[in-house]
Amino acid sequence: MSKVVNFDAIVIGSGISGGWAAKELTEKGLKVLLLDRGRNVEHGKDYVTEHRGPWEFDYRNRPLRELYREQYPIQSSHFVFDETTRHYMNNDRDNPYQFVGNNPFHWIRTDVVGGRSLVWGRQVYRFSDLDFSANALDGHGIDWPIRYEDIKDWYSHVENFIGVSGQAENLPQLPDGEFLKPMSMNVVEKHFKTKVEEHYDDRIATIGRVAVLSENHNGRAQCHYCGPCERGCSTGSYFSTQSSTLPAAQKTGNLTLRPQSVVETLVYDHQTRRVTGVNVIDAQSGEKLYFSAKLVFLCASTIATTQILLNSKSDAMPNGLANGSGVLGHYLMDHSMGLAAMASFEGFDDQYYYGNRPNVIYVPRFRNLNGNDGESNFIRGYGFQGLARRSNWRGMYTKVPGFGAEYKRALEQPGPWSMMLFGYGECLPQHENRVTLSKQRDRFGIPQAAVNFRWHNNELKMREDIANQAKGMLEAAGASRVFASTAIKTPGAAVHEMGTARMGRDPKTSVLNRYNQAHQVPNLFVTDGSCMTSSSCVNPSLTYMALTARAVDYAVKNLRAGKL
Amino acid sequence: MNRREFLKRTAAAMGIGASSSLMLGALAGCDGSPPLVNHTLKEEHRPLIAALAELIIPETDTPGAIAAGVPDFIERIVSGWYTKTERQIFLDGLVQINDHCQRHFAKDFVACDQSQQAEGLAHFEQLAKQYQPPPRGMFDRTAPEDEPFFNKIKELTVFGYFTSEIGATQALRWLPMPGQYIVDYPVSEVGRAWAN
Repeated sequence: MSKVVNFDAIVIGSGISGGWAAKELTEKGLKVLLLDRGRNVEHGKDYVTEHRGPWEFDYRNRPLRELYREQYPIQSSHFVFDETTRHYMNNDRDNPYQFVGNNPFHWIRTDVVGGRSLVWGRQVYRFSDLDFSANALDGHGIDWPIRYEDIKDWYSHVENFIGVSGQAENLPQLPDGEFLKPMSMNVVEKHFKTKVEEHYDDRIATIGRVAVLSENHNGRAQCHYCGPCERGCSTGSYFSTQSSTLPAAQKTGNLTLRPQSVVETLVYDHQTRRVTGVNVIDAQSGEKLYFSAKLVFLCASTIATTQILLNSKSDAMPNGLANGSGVLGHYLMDHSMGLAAMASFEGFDDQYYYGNRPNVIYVPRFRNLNGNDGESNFIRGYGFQGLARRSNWRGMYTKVPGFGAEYKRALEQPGPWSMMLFGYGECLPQHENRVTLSKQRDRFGIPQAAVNFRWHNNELKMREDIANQAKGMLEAAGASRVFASTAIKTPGAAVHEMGTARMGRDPKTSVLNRYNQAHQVPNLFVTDGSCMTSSSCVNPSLTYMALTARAVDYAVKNLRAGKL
Repeated sequence: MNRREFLKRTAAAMGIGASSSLMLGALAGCDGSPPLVNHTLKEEHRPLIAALAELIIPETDTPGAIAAGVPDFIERIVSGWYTKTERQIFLDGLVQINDHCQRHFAKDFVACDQSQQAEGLAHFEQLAKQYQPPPRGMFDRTAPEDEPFFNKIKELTVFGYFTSEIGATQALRWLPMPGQYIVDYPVSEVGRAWAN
């Protein structure tokens, strides 16, 4: 390990946001220390499960129930977790957190360099002014200190680097991006799109916008349609820290990566009103280390970032670093997520597909676009992610009766077509939904994060419309056996937890200003999900990337001008 | 290796009294998986499990369950992955199906002919229809613990077959790196279901 302790900048967290901070800062010539609490995962080399067939797993990738119960009770609740990805995921027994009262919250996370950029869903959508102005218009939360115009070029900047496959649709509520060619819809999805757009005049179905390459891009190869991206992709065809931002940072020669580095506190000097450095505990040896820097980018992910800020309290800042407003930890949000409807499609039995598309179809928000729709009993909106596919032996084996040669032959063939629509609903910022520090400490002596979150009335009312609309669309498309549900998965299951260190114009009601700079600490920037002032209904990671690149640009300009 | 051959060799091993750990070592060596930790399954269970698996997924124009290593997989699941409850239901089921064949055909299951075996298993399929599963989440990954014997032997056989290398690559189409995504692709071009 490097013996250097002083850097121009320290980036805490190497996930979606931290990877971008490291890339942008090193490319501008700063010497950067990139810290992550997790172990290293090297691109290609460490994707140990990448092309394994199920027969190459001890129990054929069946869940190891006792192990999961004991060590991964939270992570194993999420569909991304299984024997092909467990080596990336957080051990909940070794690294616990708390949830308060009867409000369960599933904090789904990794414990490796690259963070969730290794296992994420790769869906990328821009926020629009419908999103940025929502709080101001309906009074929930505080106004964003930015609008689409402020971030537009930064969306382009990040999209051009990462490569996004998508279809331009010219919708005001879902701005188009810089797209590589769109992926295709299969026969049933195309049928669904045609019928829905015939039947309704207020909505469309489009192919998902995804951070997976449909064309070779920036030295990375296009997707091979293998399927399980979350195991790791040696061709670098989807965006992850490992495939994209980390190599760019390393190429500059300015990057020092230090895995297994748990950040305990940021050190604040009240005389200079600056963060001077970071206290780190080595996750393997327990050794305590200190690194100093002129600039700190805190990108540890929403809950972890706020945990660090709360734990970095001092006499000058008794409620936590940069928490003069008292709002740090409050206004936690997550998208409501659930299977809104599923149905069967008959009449396509001679059709199939070739390859596994790492993408869904998307029905962009069509609700409450111009104030409240007359009949809607909720505010804001939601979008659908969906897909159609043919079932296989896994879905068929209990439904096909009997056993023997005919039974076997039936299971060797593709099963019936079905379609699923998952609704992602916007979540209003609520003061009581919050992250605090528990009295219980973790194995490093750091107070654990405690999450208190529940859905409120608007999220619940919205689910009714989500279910009804999904059902209506499938019926309009001629589906049979339509099943609809208002059920919301446990909070945290969407893995879009946001808020707790929100951006705002007023230091009395926000932690960060319009450049993600802490109001009270000019050399501290926070650009991960914690900065979000509202949640929209669209996947947030692209916005984290854009805000990060924009904040780095601002920070470095000011650093060089002597203002930080 | 075909069904008859497997049963002959197993019986021969039993007759010579080959130590079970040697047998286990041989089975475990086939696919590189670790040897079984405990010996829940008795020697006499193995031909019965093999016969049941082959009855459910027989050799057709593609290999059957025995050729795909399903009996070994079932053994590994029952002894190493199943809960106590699941294991008990499974083991009781093996006893019950033999008792049924003794009562109806005056023979153990493995000694019955094909149609007698089919009748025997069908009897347990009928019994299983009375089972009321508990309410479950749509995306629950495992079958309910208390599923009856027929459901278990069927699930293990089917799962063991289609996740085996032979099952996935010969009975289904295994394509780990397609290279492209093609829609409007006729089933007739593939001929089988995709394995992945």
